[in-house]
Amino acid sequence: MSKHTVIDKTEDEARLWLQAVERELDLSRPACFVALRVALHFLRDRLTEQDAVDVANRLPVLIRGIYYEGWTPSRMSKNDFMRKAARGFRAHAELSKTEQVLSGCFRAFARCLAPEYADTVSVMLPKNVRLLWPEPSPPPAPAHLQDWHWG
Amino acid sequence: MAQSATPTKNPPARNPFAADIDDAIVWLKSFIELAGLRNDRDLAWGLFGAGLHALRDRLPDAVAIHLGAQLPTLVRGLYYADWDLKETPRKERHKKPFLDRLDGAVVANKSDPERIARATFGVLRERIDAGEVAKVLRHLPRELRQLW
Repeated sequence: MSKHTVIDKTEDEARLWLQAVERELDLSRPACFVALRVALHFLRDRLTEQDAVDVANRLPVLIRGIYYEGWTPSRMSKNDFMRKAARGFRAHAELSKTEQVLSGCFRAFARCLAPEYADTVSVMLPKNVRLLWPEPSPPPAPAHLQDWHWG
Repeated sequence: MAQSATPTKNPPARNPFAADIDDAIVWLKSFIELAGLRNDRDLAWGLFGAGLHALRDRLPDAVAIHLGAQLPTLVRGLYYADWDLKETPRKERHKKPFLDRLDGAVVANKSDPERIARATFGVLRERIDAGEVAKVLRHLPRELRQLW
């Protein structure tokens, strides 16, 4: 029996991200795999170069490799990217609702990242794309209000 | 009834990451051979990463990104780990300070940094297009080019 190497671990971590996307989108695995790639590129291309690299450093290694695929740093407009994403999704009829697919993937990403970092990403995004990212979790209520029960 | 997967030219693999893993293993085996290591993939992965990072950090951002695009997916993920744009590009002109940058696994295992650097560059020379290698070399000073 061969040993579970660091390479096998990279696959395990990547699979968690794919499974998170599958849970959010509830579509076939091949469709979710396409969605994962396109959504990672969408996220990357809506960030400044510095922020794009910062986010990448938080990703598992194989997911990071997919994220950087074909990268030429330039901030693509949301509309241009939506058109590009729609082309990327064309082979899968399941992915026809581009915006829904992207926001589902973003929910999955936010869940896979550390919660406080997910909120940081939200702030990095331009306003029109931030709408697709899950809203930051509200800060915990002050201690003296935590036992308060309404009605 | 929910629709099933749309048939595509390539039937969906059960494991969509399998090809990426296989490609990385081919590169890693090449590195293990050139570096003359025991077949310890975990160790080799760390050493290969140290070699790739030292090169990446010595290149102007645009060239580093161009090189990243030539790598197979999982190797690319390794290459880009912990990149800090504020700290790069570094300016070492001589072999010794460049080799001192090979840290992490190299230091932890008391590996010879020159052997690791040469093996890393050897893999790149073997596996990426010669024109792309030439582009990278143009941005390195003579002493570092001699490690290729």
